[in-house]
Amino acid sequence: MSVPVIILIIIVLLVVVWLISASNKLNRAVVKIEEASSGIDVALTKRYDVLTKMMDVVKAYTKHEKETMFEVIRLRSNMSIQEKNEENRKMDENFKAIQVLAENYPTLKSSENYNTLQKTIADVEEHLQAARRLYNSNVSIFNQLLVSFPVSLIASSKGMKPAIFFEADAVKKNDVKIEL
Amino acid sequence: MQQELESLRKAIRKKFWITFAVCLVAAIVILFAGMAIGILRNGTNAAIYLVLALIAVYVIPTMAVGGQKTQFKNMFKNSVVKSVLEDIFTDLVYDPNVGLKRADVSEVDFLYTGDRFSSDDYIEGTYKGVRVIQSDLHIERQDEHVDSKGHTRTKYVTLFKGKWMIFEFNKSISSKIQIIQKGFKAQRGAVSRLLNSQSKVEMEDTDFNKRFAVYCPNAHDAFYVLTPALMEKIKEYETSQDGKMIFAIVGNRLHVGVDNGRNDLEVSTSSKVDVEGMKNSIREQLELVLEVVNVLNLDNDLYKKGV
Repeated sequence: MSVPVIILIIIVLLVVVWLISASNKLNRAVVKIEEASSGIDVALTKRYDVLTKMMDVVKAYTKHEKETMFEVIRLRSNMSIQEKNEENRKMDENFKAIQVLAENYPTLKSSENYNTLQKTIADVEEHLQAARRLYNSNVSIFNQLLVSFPVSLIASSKGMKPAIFFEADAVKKNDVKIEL
Repeated sequence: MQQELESLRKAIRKKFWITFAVCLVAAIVILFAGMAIGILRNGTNAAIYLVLALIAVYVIPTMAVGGQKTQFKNMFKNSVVKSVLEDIFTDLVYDPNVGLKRADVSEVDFLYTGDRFSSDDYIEGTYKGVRVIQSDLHIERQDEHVDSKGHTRTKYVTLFKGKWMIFEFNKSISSKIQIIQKGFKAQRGAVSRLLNSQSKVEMEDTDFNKRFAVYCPNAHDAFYVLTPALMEKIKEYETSQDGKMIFAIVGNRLHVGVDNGRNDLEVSTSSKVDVEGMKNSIREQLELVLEVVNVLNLDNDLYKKGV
């Protein structure tokens, strides 16, 4: 076998190895986004559980029915990021409504259950923020790969599109004071 | 207390110099006697004798005051150091002759505890409601090399000399987080870190990533603990201190190691005893410990309570 043929074979092998490596890198980035997305699901579920408990406490003290005071939240499996954003926004609205109610019902505001749940919210919020940041970090890495040459060629051949960030809701961007 | 310490210090100095003078005179007399009887007229013999004499003239007085120096050190630590610690910490436990053991720090996987591990000045107490343990730590690695004549020479290389602190942390996680400043010497070798490469976590703060490497098997826990605010505070703390650092969160304990090359809370007999000056110096040395609680807000128990 002549030297030019050997060189050609080596070049082809290197290109094949690179193609496999780049493809795997993209696939791993997609898996990481999916893992981080399920982390958001876990955090949203925890937040929903705390919210439900708080709504029960509010109902006991104010005698208001939950359904008349709060937005209905439905967490399902396989929600898109936009749907998760929307359900998270509804939870924000409900938490705000609880705080407004607590201002009008001093016995609620001073109850041990309510205060304990307020502290739980802080930890739950931190977990949700962590899940959001991790998800967005993985989305950023993936989206950067999609626009970086030559990996972008592989991505477009696979029909891959940029992933959507899990945005902080506009309401949550304002500081919300929780008085303990 | 100042008078007692100063009296003891003067007695040590006096004994040292008297013993030194006696040894020096004896060495000179032996030198002349040796020359007179011919033993030390030979250049080689004289050189060997001079070296041995110089060593003896220093070593003998040092050994003579050794016991009193230990007494001076213990008196200083049990009175001056302890009084400063009692002002700062509640529920204080202090033992200057005891330190951390390897087992106390071995839960920090990426810390290499070396071939020689020594520790002293064990302090345990509560500051602003946070339980704190700290100790001076010295880790060394044994290096052997064989010279051209086939002799094996052993030397010890310092990997870590400074302060090791363990705090009660205000968040609890199931996995370990290890945050190692780039250039920290006492970390496990490349192979060990490579085996854990899958657990390296890139945070969204690029400046933080340039200064520190974060390892955690669960990336969510890393993002949960290392909030943007905490990363800023870690950078702030690192900027305020000398030496490379390691942070590790294991369960509800935060380990902080600062390799500043110092063994704190020590005293010398060469300068006059000034108790107030010494206390101020001790307070400054302890700032390194207290700043961790203050800067990282470890006294914030918001995340510890709840359902």
